[in-house]
Amino acid sequence: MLSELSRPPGLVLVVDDEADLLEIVSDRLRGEGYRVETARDGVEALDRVREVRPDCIILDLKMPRLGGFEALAELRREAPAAYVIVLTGSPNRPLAEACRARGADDFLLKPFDPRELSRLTARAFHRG
Amino acid sequence: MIAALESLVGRRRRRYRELEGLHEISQAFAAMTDMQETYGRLTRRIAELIGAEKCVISLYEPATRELVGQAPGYNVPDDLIRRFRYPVDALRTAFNFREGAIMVNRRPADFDLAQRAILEPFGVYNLTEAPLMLEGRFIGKVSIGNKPGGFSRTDVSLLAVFAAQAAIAVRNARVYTELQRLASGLEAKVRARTAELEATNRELADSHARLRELDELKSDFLGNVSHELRTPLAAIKGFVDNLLDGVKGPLPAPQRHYLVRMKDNVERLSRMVSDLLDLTRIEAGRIELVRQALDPAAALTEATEGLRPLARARDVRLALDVAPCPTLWADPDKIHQVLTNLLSNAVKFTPPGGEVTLLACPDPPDMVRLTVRDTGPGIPAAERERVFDKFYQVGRLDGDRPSGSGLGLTIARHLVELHGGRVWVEDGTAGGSTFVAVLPAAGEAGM
Repeated sequence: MLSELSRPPGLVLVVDDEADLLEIVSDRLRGEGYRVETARDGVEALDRVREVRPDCIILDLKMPRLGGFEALAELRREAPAAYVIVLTGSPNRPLAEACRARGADDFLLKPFDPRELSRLTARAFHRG
Repeated sequence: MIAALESLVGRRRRRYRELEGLHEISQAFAAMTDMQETYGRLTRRIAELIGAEKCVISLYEPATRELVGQAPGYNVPDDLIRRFRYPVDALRTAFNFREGAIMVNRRPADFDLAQRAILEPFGVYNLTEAPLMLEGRFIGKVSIGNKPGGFSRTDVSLLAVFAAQAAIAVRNARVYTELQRLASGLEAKVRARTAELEATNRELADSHARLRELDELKSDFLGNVSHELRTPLAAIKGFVDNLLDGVKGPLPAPQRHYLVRMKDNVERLSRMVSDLLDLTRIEAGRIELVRQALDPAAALTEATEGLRPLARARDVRLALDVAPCPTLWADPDKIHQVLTNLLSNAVKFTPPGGEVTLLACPDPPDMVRLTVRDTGPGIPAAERERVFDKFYQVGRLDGDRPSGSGLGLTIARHLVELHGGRVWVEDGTAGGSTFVAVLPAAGEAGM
């Protein structure tokens, strides 16, 4: 709680259809002092983005209803300033480039390394 | 004088026509290949040239000892010829027939009743016959009949020459017919065999398609299983990491100890799942190499860096010894996997204070040799091939249970062989074991 007060009020939206992963990432980020919101798919993510205006979005690509890849461009329009980190289990150059073209800023490999999660999230809040 | 000259010129002209006719016959007969056509043309030519009304060829059949008429003849109905079939012995008695002898200018009046019974249907009033001889064997005869005024001596000698030519023509036609029979038999066999092969091919194509489907199903299944296995493993690891990192508050030491053991086991299980998947993909031929020019020194350095934490933890020194080498023509990710597997094996089997050395050197003419040498207990000669078998685990000196999947070396060997290289174990020079991988250099392909 103390760390939360001492840090800049960063808001991270974590979007993933796996409840376990959502909990692991959220707990860890909250532990590091961020405020965290969650969504279970692209549709929910778009609703949340309009409500809460996150500074950083951690976005899974494969989800039911609306996947991260499909939701990317619209999320980007709704939150032009947010730093978007794409979560992917199968990294490849064409996919990475397509994601960047749609507005992704960075990539986090699944299964994720906790230190890498911390590093990328921190980078989202120390740009420029 | 003039009359004598004219007669001479006339004889010469006749002689010339005869020779011309003979030449034509021998040419035509040599080229004749069809039996029916042969008999038809032979008999017509002979009759025309000698000036006889009728001509028939009959052949000797050794199996039945019969002389058999061969249709078509010349001016003799085919059905009559076909009915002509007489035992040589009977003819011998009836006609004083002798194989090889020429029979000249016989008139029906010369024949007895039995003979006339044979000849009558043919409407013959005089008859000359010559044997068809082939390499001294009697194969049949040619009979000409009905020359007004009878057969001259010239006619008889012409017939003898014809008979010699006809024998050859008959032989040629027989050989050709036999060849055709064999060829059509062969053709039929080829057709049958081709049909069989086509049927087999279709079956193979079908079963191939079915196998492909099954293979794709298996692959999809494995892909799904892998996802299904990895997802809970990742969740367990994530929660354990969070706890160990104090996300949910400080942990008492005994609980922390358990969590560390859990984390080790989860990581091992994850490695096994991914090794198992790799091996399944390799064995299904679903691994594709993305080759590029790869600097062996860089590959060794990168693999070494990845293994440093493990080596440090076990107090094993890592040394690098890279000679000037051609670049490799290889998939960097796969080579990294190979080197990591060989290296982690070496580190695990090297006692504290020991050393693992990585070497690279050219292997002329067009390969590069990568060597991983350790100062561990070594591998007994009898086990050196078996270490590449699936799930084979060499007993460890310190009595630790194996920490890998038992698939690392199997995968390494598959990946090296996929590159067209080889990997094996050698006797360590100063004890320990030496793993050698030989891989193709880039050559011109990578330039």
